[in-house]
Amino acid sequence: MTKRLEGKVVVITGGTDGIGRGCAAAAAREGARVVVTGRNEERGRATANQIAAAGGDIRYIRQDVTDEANWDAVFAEVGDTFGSPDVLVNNAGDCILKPIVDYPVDTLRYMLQMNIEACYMGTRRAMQSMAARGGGSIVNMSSVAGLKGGVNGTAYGASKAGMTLFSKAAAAEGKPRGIRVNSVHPGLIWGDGVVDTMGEEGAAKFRKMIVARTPLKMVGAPEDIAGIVVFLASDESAHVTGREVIVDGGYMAV
Amino acid sequence: MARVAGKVVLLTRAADRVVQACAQALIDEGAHVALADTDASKADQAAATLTGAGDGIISLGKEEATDEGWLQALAAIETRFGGVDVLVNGPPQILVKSIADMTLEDLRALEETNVVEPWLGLKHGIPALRKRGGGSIINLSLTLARDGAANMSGNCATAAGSRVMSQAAALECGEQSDGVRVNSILLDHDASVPEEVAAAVVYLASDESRFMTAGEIALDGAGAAK
Repeated sequence: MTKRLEGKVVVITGGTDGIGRGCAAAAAREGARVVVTGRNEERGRATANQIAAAGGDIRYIRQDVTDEANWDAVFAEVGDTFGSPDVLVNNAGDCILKPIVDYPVDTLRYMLQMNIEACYMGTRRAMQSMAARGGGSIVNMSSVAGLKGGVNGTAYGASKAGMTLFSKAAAAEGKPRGIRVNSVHPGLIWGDGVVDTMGEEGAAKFRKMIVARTPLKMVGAPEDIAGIVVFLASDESAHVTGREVIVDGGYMAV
Repeated sequence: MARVAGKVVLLTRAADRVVQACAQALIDEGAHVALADTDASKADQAAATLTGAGDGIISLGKEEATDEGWLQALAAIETRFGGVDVLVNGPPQILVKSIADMTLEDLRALEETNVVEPWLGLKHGIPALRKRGGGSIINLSLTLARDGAANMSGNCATAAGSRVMSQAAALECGEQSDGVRVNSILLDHDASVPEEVAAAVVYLASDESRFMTAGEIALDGAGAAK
């Protein structure tokens, strides 16, 4: 059977760990030529080596997604290595949670930069090259926090909600050019990132609270998001654009 | 690697082209399938068009919108395959008619096929899946469940009903921690490509979607335009 992403060039930002790494491994298994980007070179190389060892065609390119000039450089390097991207997964992002009364406005600006501006720059750059090729698929990694408010999440929620509606507008613009844009909304996906954001004790408490409220009584793993990303990246979803796909154990429906 | 290897899947409305595409995709990914239709000969015909199933396929006539119909179908599948892991509630019937021209009988017919039938699928499918320690129910509904359209009032009302009742069922399964997931695929009533519906069905039938319940995938490409 033909692999589902055979021959496609897939770029995944923030692909060096967590959800991004899970998506990269799945895309590589499905025959894509994968580029993972991120700031941490050591982790990037380790991820690429690990996926290559499993038979994947993958490269790591260092990238700061908030640096616009860097986007051009990354696209140029991807073009030289694999050819122009068919799929961009805007997965890089950050999450800082705090009560609004204690939240510095510059941290809000940082959230907007990481979660909206980076997505904007990537989408714009990808739409330019995809339009020239007759189409492509862009997948923006939002969050259930972009659909529903949560305690300590004013800045993160605003940034992910912004990304969500940005995606819909981009989908409307991309439609005549054959470019699809969708957002994916994971619930709590367990990984190092959660502990980095909340500390060990905070993360454990948060996990317990979320699991209790989640119909499936579980947290997700990066692989649980990889499946939907492969679907949205592939031609199987040729008629899906401007949509939100929620993969959250049922959390949003409660 | 086959994505739904060994899973037993019941699909209703076997006479529908979309359902046949789903069945073929599931077979290609290693599933055993049971095809049900109110007309047994149509279920047989559908089964005959599918390739690669070997003896991993049965077709059966199923009385529509009755408890007995569902219990008999599930019993037949249990006899043959030992149980069922995935239920695909076939797509709704469509009626294009203005409210002015529609009759109450028209509306009631859509309620039977598009709400009562999939509701019974949930009612009897959930306990059947529980016997296997969990599974996935996939409800084929319409994007009209969210976005109204002229001359589609009956489809809108019944699709919205089936969409929300799927979520309710998902939450009930969550309360029981029974491992049963329930999701909807929203089809465009005149533009969905059978093979693309099938791709979404395979995803929701597989363990790739084990963290997804009470959710939906809309397949119309109109999201951006609305």
